[in-house]
Amino acid sequence: MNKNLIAAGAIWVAIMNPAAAQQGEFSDAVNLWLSGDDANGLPALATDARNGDTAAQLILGQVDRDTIPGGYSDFLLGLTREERAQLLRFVNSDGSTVNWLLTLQGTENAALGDALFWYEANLDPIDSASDLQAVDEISKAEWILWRTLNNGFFNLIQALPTDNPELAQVGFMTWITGYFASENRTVSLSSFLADESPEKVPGLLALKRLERVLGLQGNFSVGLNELIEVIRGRGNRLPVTADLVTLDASLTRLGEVDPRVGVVNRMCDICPDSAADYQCKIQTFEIIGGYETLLAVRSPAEAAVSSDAYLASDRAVTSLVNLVRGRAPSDLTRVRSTCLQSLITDGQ
Amino acid sequence: MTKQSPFRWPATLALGTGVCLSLATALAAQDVTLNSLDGELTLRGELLSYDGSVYVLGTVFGSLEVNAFLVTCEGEACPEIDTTAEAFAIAGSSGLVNGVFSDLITAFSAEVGGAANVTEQSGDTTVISLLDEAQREAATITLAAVGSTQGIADVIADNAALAISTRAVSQAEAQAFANAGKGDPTSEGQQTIFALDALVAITSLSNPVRAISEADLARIFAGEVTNWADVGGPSAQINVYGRAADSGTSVVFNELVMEPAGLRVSDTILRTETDAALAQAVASDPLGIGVTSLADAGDAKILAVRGVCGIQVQATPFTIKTEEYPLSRRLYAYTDNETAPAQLTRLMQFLETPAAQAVVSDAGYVDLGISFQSNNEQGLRYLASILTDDVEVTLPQLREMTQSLTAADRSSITFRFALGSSRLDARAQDDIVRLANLIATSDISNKELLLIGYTDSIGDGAANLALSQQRAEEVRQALLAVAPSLGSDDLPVRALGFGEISPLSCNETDNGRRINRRVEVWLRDVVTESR
Repeated sequence: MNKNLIAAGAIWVAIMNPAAAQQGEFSDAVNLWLSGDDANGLPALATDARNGDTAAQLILGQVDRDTIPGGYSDFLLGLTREERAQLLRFVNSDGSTVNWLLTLQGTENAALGDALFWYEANLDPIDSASDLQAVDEISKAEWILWRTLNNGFFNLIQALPTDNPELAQVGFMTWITGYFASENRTVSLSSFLADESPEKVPGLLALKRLERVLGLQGNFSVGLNELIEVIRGRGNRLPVTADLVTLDASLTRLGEVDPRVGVVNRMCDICPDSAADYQCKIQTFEIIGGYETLLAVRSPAEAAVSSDAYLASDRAVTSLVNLVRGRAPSDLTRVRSTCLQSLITDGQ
Repeated sequence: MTKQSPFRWPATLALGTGVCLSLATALAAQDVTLNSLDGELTLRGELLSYDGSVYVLGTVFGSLEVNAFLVTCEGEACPEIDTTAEAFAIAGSSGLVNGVFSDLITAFSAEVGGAANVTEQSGDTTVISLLDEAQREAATITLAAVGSTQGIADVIADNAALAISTRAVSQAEAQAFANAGKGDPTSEGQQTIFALDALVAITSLSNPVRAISEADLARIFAGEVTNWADVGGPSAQINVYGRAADSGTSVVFNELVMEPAGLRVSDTILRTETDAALAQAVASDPLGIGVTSLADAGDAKILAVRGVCGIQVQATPFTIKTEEYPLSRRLYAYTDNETAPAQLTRLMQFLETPAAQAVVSDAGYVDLGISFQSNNEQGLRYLASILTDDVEVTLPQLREMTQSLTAADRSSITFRFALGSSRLDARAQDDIVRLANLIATSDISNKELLLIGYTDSIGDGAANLALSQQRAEEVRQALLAVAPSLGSDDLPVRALGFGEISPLSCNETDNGRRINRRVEVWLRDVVTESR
């Protein structure tokens, strides 16, 4: 889509926009959406957006272009393309629709809208991360850096621009820096669980990506390597000797420090017999494709909803449930967790 | 939408502000890009050093040490590297060269993502082409199964880069190394112990004898005992099988059995070419006896070794690792003092890894890894306490020890001490580090570490009890010095002493007393009884 045309069509909306989104106190519509209620939350957000609420515009803009925060909810899946566009996008006088993020051109939130809309399309990930970091969209910036490293492009991470040194200080990168600065490079399951850094999981996964060429094999205990396999979504490849109960308990402890893993724990806690179902968390990672996908369950726009508030909301759990339902095997006998079986069945 | 990036420079500078452009440009010229051979990873950073096997890069995460064999280097600062395939030979013990090293090279090639292809095989020689991850030939390795003695001679004569031996170099061979300007083969840099093994006395499965003493074995091989009836068997002639006098097995057998008895192997014994051939010959001869490697015992029956006090010890990986089986031996690799070919250096580093040690174990030898054995498998401990009449032991003492060891596993790491001493030797210091590393990477929970001291029977029982506790405490302090975080609530470390009550060998001999002066390492479950 041509950006200039979109911007021209959105001038009227830009005039209507207030200066900034409210932080901390959310509107009723945002609260409704954060509760996981798409059927009532999205129409309420649409009303607020049309009335010039920036937070609502940012959320709708992201839901429109990025399905993860909305997930494939039953409500959204039940809409026609036109109904969806009318609900989630700005509607021009001629009936054409525009993503709300692009209506921010010409306002003081233009850079924010631009960064949020284009970050997935930019072929230079470091530029995207830099743009996002500049508008305080830190979790997205970190996600891009993490994905870049995990795709094998350490060279791009190394070439961080000098005009944005804070980018090198995002959580998982600080964790890795701390690891290499430490004299003791062995990490056991217990020492890892005792680590209070919320960014230790993405840090460890990125470190494992470098493990071979840096000769770090042997620095990680058997139990920790098994936990890493689980977090990567390879729980079905564990050896028969793997202690699944301990791995489940380890995920519970990780969730107390890492709010993303905490979302998995809260989802599994929905089931009344969750304490006995030690496969729920393990297989959740397996079904969704590992922690990499979990990183995508994040605030649509931190300017509208802070990262912590989003991950603490029911919306985050709802999004995860939708992901599990969307990616679960059609043959439910392959789902070992009774909790996941019931969550998947409830959505059918 | 694609955007052009602004000018960038190394992150080491990027972290600071106000860096002048000229300085940044100068350092940027030192940046290199390292591409992994599997194409999965690209690294970039300031090249700080290169030693032929490791690139050290200054990066946003600090200094990173990158395995130079797994990457290619791009950039003006990259060192010039000769990529011509190396050619070198490994010569030595037939059993080790054919039974272990050919498989080790295959495992090594798999570890580095390459391949090992046999390109030539004739007689005792096998030529292997080692390919790297990019399928380029990295080395041509000739394996020569010529025996330990010839292997060592080949290194001295520059015909081989590595000698594989079932015995340590003799004084004469060490002198020959020195005379040829090849350094000291007993030095840490030139000698590697890569596995353990044991000499085992074997008979046919149909032979009723179950154990033999070292002294009887010596008399049989010297020709002084010629009838099975003299060692508890049927009245029939003993057929004795042995290896050539210069084989590694014969040299070690002389050292451990014949020389302590003051005897020589008779010239009339039946000689075989290899340990495996010897085992085959003995297994098919109901009246035969021979001594071979544990790894080559095949279908023959392995006799336990009986001490003068009646204690019998079986050759098992655990008793060999703890050095409680008296005829244990180490397996050696020797190089000269010149710079080894790069791929040989990598292979030697690989020897220390679990993957390589698994190959050693699969071949029937004893790996260097730490293993555990439950108290239920420690029957010898209690049998020996009762059998021996020279130790001061009471039933309450045995009961106390048994209670301590219930629900516990013994580690193969065992610390030994000089007579009357509680000072740790060099090997013990190495074992302290190994133990600390094991604990650091073992996810131990609901356990406690018991360090249990024992003594020989020399001296007063009460004094030995105190000495055993002192030795255990010495080990505990050394362990805590290496790993201060140990001893926390996660893994309590306790030092106990039980004096002389649990001999594992006969106190009548020097070697038996050495075996008994020890601190054992146990991991015990922390048991909480239900109410």
